[in-house]
Amino acid sequence: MRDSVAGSWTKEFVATVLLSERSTGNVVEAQLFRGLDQKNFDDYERLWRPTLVQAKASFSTWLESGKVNAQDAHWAWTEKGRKANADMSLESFAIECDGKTQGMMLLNLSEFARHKDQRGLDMVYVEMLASAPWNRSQLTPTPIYGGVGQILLGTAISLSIESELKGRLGLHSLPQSVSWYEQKTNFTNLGMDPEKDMIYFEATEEQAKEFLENG
Amino acid sequence: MDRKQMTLVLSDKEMLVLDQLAESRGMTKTALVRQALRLYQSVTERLDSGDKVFVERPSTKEKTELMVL
Repeated sequence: MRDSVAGSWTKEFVATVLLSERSTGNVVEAQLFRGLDQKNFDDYERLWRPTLVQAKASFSTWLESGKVNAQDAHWAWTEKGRKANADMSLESFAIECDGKTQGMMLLNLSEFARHKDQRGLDMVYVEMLASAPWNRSQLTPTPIYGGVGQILLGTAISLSIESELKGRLGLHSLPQSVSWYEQKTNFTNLGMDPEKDMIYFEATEEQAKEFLENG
Repeated sequence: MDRKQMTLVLSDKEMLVLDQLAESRGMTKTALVRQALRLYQSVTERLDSGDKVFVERPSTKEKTELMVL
């Protein structure tokens, strides 16, 4: 929701979602928000970024930093999140729990599908999706919450449906995340995109529906 | 999300195009107008920032610059 006086963005509470607490296996409540605000940017700059940058710095190449799930250390969440609040094509979401940002996602609704069954049709494209560093099992021996990525992907599909794009969704995966998308989703792997040098995945209407039903 | 309502006055020709596009893309007319606005904002911002927008013919790789007047 846009504040007409200040011209600033107020993020909107969407729903209570459930994360799994990895140490106990218990389910805990978290809040899903549409839009990112200063609290999310502060969490990213103070709590996420230093950990990711430090983890990445211990490797000589960007590719190698995938061993600790830190290939996204350069992502400009604050800059892109602010842009999303003024750009109709972009939508952002955050999951918060324990007073901290547990995950964030940036979506683009002005992209077109490549899968042969839906080529050229409008779809939601996942520009960036990340869980907080303390939730990543390759980055910390004691990850705190699980389920962040799946909830955010489900949210992206829901937005695709809400926008009458029928659940169609596409994304490029960082090398460190390819196995995650292969294991946790039913999306079609369309292979290496030479323009981005990353593997491209896409969900059809049927795959999106199945993902939501099984998620 | 808050929604605002507006009345859109279109000519027969414009309405025909809107109907055809909505039908071919499997959307309501409202959703199609939203998508059109997203694309128009995206293209306008790119052009305003000095970028050029091209359309490429895959078979020949021929590129045509998209001009928005």
